[in-house]
Amino acid sequence: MQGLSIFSRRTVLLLSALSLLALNGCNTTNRNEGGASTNTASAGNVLRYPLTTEPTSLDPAKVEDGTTIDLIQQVFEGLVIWSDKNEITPNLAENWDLSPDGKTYSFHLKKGVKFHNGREMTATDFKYSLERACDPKTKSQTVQSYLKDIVGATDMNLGKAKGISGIKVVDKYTLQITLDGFKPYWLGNMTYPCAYVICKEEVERNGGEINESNLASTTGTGPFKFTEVRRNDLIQLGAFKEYHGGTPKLDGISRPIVKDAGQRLNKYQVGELDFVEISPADLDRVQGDATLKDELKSFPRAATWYIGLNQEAKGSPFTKREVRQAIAMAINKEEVIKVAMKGQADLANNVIPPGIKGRNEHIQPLSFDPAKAKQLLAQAGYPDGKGFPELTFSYRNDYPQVSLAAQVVAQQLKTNLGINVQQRPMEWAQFLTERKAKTLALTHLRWAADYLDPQNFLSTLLHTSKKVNGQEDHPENGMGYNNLEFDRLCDAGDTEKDPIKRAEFYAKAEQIAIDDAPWVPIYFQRDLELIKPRVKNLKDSLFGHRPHVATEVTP
Amino acid sequence: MLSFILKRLLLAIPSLLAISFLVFVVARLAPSGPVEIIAGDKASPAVIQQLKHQYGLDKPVLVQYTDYVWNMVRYGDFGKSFQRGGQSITAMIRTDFPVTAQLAWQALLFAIVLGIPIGIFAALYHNTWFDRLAMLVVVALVSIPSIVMGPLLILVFAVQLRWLPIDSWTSPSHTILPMITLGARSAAILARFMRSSLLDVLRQDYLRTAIAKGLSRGKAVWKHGIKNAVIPVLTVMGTVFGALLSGSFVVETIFRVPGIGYESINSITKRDYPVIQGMTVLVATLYILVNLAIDVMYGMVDPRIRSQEAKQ
Amino acid sequence: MTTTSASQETPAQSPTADAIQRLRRNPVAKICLLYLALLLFVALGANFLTRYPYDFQDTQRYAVTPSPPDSHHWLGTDEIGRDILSRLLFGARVSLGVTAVVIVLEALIGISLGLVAGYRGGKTDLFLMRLTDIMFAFPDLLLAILLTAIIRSGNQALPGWLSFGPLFFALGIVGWPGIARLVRGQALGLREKEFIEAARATGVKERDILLRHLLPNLSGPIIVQITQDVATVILAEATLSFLGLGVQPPFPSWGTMINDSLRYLNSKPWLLLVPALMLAVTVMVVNFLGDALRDAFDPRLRQ
Repeated sequence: MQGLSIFSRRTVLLLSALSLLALNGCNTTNRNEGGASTNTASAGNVLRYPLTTEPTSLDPAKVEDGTTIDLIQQVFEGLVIWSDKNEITPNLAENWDLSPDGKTYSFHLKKGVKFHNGREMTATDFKYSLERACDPKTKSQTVQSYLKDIVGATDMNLGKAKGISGIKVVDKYTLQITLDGFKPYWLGNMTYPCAYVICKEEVERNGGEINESNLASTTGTGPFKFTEVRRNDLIQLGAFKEYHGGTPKLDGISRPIVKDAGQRLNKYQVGELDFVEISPADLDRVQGDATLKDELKSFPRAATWYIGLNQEAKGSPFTKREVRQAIAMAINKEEVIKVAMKGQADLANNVIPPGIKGRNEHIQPLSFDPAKAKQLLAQAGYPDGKGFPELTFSYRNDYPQVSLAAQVVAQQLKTNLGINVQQRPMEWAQFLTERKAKTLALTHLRWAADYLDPQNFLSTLLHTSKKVNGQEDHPENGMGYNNLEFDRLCDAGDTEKDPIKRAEFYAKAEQIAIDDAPWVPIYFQRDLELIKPRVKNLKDSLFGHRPHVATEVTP
Repeated sequence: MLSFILKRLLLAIPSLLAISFLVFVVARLAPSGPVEIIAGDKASPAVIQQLKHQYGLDKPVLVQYTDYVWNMVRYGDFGKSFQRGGQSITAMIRTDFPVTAQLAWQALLFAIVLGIPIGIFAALYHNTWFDRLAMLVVVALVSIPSIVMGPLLILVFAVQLRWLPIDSWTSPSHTILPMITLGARSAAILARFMRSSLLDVLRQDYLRTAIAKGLSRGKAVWKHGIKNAVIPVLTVMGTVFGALLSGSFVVETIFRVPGIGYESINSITKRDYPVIQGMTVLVATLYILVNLAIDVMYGMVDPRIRSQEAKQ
Repeated sequence: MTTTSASQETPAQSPTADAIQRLRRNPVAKICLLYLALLLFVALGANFLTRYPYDFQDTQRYAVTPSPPDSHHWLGTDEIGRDILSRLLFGARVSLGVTAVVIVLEALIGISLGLVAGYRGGKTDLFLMRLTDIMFAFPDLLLAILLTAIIRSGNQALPGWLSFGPLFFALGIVGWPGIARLVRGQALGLREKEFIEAARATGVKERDILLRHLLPNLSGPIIVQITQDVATVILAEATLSFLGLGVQPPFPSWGTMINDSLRYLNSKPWLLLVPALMLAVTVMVVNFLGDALRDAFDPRLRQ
């Protein structure tokens, strides 16, 4: 009977009281939505916006989802940060020198930066933080992507070394980081949470963990500190008065956890929230409302959604350039955006999203042209789609917009080319496994930038991949695309020190990628938000809102 | 009685082991596992391999299973979630289970408060319009799936009238719509059973005797009828509890109630093995315990059942 | 249960014929059967009854989708311009089709295991009882989700209707224990009866005893149980699809339609009402019919 003891008598009494309330008191208890929810702070000088999910972790070394990054970047900081012009700018590092061989950065830290507990932050803290992130015990999933270029980081992460040999504390305010090669795009990696500085003594006091059971372990240098973390309910942050960038304008930030989109919108409308992200599906409610319509804003994000045409899949027809071009010209991107995205995305003719320096602004796109597409397909040996191999169209099934866009594309291929594709919505885990095995011929997926540089799109995604020591050197080229001229241009761009020449190399490479159509870019992502007029000075980069140092609210 | 309980509890152990083994193996049959999700879309095969090693997923399944059972028996450790920042299953159950328990209890209460009186009145006014209407409503309630009732309640009370909040689980008013959605079916089952049980009793001789002896009909029904009629209703409590338990998976998902149902369903698509295992075993244990409790209760009120059980 | 004894006392007419006669006198049952016949007709004839294929996206016509009902699309279109009426009718085909296959599957497993266990008794029976115990304690929705998820992640895309395979399998596996227990219980009661003893004594093979002598005498309870299971399976398919784990695009399902409509609850509530009504009414009708059948086969239960 052990199992039943949880239903204590007290609970039963309480519950019966509640049910009576439920049965008799609907009108009185619930008319005032504001009173019903205990989880909203008074408006005041506090910015209130919802968390759409429970934060995955409060540990910067572990965080990888956008929602949680937005939360912890108010508390923790790194050496550098993306500006609202999408450029790398100093944050905890005042400036830095690069050695002549381009491999060693010497960061000169800002002096007098204080942790939330009052102690001064120094170069030692950075060394500790980066090494803790790479320690296999920390189980960080992100260091392999963002810190691997630092000499010795991988060794430590694999348990082969006790520290990172490429990181040196020169003096209290100078941190030296050595890379395994010249990488002009590398600083972007240092904006990621796993490179943020944490406070050693507070973390060690909490057994090496950073979590809500001891909020002191979340001591950082950021403009805000956690004051309250209530699971499934609410997270509150308070301003850090001694912030090195000046006292924040806000007294605090309140983040109620509201998982349902409709409910977020409701709370926004009754004035409990200052801004909310909304999905394209909510658009028509928003646009039907005069007030909401004016408060709708959309923000471009550094992500390209595309149709992948994998040449390596078994029996893939995409080895023929004409077939790929035919597919590219048979897809009516405008219609996909109108129907599936409800108009809220930017049509993509480039591989690289707008706002990233070095993108080809004069690209010659393969525009929608069904007649030309048919002709190309016939040239490839499949007139009216006859004899075209059975194709499976794979996409993840957990986001409605992805599924809808894929279905629209499937119909376009059928109508415009006479190609029938078998749709295969998949679970994310399965999709990832098969995509990595490169067995999926036709896919709809996205590439979200790690850092804002053409290299992260062109070289990372489309450079021919060769096996070096049993490992692919460009594992993200999931399309089996290979074009020597394209490779040459990318290689030149990756190691060029003059930014203007670099941009030229990438511009030529991008045009080749569009002409060859190894994949078809469909749209660049936009995030939709409703923002109350009382919110001022909200700064944004392609990765999302920047920390709310300057954000203001009027009461 | 005690030996009966002990015997049943002992019998439950192999069942629970079998269930945990089944769910353990079945979950791992899929070619893609939690590591792929944890590592994300940009991880290299080396990282994936390393992660598998870290989580012990590169060992043979049988070895993994014995480790799992050993940790469970020896340390009471059900493992840690692969998601949710590595929270332990015990901690998850501690936060999620009270939510589900509250929902289930409220729904049960709702079902009793609504179902039993309807059943009683339908029996007392047997073959009147009330009886027929009540039985029609009962079939309707049994038939309306929670994926229909939930959204309809949301549409009317949350979206149109804006009387009740949905989503989240922070105040009593949040619990009302999930409670009704979950409890409606059970209310119908109880009403139907109460009705037929009371009808049976009303036909019994002792009731007629009581009335003949001068007890008013109302008093007779109240003192002898309903009391005796309620006992058989206990037998359906197993069914009712089963309906509540399995219903809570869907209801929690519809209303995003942060209980074990919602988390279990999420954990399957995320291939969060330890959570899937922990939650399945938890729910199965509950099911077995509640059924046992009902049998015991029933045995206490009606000794005939006990002797029958003993014979089997 | 009492059907079996009744069946032997009135040898003049089979219990099934009896039941059918009673059923014909029940107006509720008639209405239910009519509804189901209509639904079946609509499901089978969906190709001819609808103006648009279920996956056709009429996106050129509308600036905004979902679009409200008009002369082209009598119930409007969904969020990518597909005809809701078509999806509703083809959804009926999906719902009934899945249910038919699953019921056959679980009946096959349940009846054969139940018969063997009940007739043989002993260890076979004990084993089956333990197995059903386990299945009952296993949270069925979790098991179904787990199974569909696992089977679906096989390395091959299943073309067309075969893509329903995982769903069939999962629901079949989850559904059989109920029938098995029922059949086992009945068979246990019957095996000591004279006519079975007689058959055994004259050397009739076990298989023939099971199929020719035992099974026909169990048809009543089995039919009643199966009708109840039909409602359960219809619901299970809709629920799994609602959760995004059942029927996969581009095929329509009422459950998927309900889930899709939730995103438009604020502005386009009819998107919810149409499939919700269809699902609720269908389940209700099957339940009414189940009650009527139970009354017909077992008049003593009728009150």
